[in-house]
Amino acid sequence: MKPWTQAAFLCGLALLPALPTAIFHPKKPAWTREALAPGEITLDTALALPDRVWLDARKAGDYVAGHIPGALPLNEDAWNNLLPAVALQFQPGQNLVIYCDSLECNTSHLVAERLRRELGAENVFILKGGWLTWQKNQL
Amino acid sequence: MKFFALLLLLPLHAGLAGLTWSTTHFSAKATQADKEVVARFGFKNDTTKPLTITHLESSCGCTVPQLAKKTYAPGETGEIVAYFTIGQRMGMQNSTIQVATSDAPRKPTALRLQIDIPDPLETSPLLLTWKRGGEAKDQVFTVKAKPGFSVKIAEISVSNEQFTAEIATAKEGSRYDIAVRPKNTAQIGFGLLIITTDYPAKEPRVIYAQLKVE
Repeated sequence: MKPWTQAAFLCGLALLPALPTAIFHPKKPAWTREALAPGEITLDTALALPDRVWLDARKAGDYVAGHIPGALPLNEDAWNNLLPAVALQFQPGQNLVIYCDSLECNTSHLVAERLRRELGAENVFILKGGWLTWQKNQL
Repeated sequence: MKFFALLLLLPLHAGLAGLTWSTTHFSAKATQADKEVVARFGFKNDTTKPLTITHLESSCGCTVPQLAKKTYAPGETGEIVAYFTIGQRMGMQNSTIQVATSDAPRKPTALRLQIDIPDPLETSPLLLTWKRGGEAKDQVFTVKAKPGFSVKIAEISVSNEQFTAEIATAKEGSRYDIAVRPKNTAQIGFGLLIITTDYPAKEPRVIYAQLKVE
């Protein structure tokens, strides 16, 4: 078999398991950075939500330095101290939108999971792109 | 045929570049009473030239990686020490430290930490509802400490005076059944059952359940 034929054959062999995985794997990464992961919403969608409360999942210092107006801090560093303020203003049907630093930050997802589990909140969303998106839109 | 053989060797060659790691995965269990978990990732420069660590970044502010120095001579060993802050975290925590070296600055190695911080409590249900105009009977909210944990209730309250709550039965430190009911069901109402525990001692956990007359 000629070298290039051999190379093509090897690539073809690799594609056999790779293609179905890329299409069907439940944890496949988003094809583009614009695709939304489960629970994520864009800034436009968030701004259109009625009865919306912003929750800032970043570290305390970042929140103090600047945050979305009206946002309540809620992070896992001080969860037990911060949750009461969120819980006591909570009403059924409220839309809770959580943000952290940027696209790569997973903290929002962890906070969302705990809110659903510990407060029974149903309408919990994560802002795609986080604080960085807010700043870029200069709102 | 020679080219075919060379292709098969490519992955092996790629593995010889850069640092050799003693492990790239660390997992541990912790409790909310712990302050931090320390993970150590040892490495060795198995190449023939000095290597400099050019990039060291954690995926989470909860994990802080530290390095004694940046450049390692051929054959020299070192380690990255990662400090994971428990804070008031709970559940399975995953964080990643990306490490890149001067010989492959765009191909970082991912060091993975997995810290399991079990929830010491089982609570249910999250939502108690009564029908408007229906019977204002007791419903039970249960707090149970999981095996190995002792958790006491320090205080019980409700956010809406339309509801009342009191401990019905208790096995101190392990199980509490709390009877909750609305004073009347004439009006639609919403409130929270608020239970303050004694665990962890420094910043005790507060448990919530939703109460609705609908």
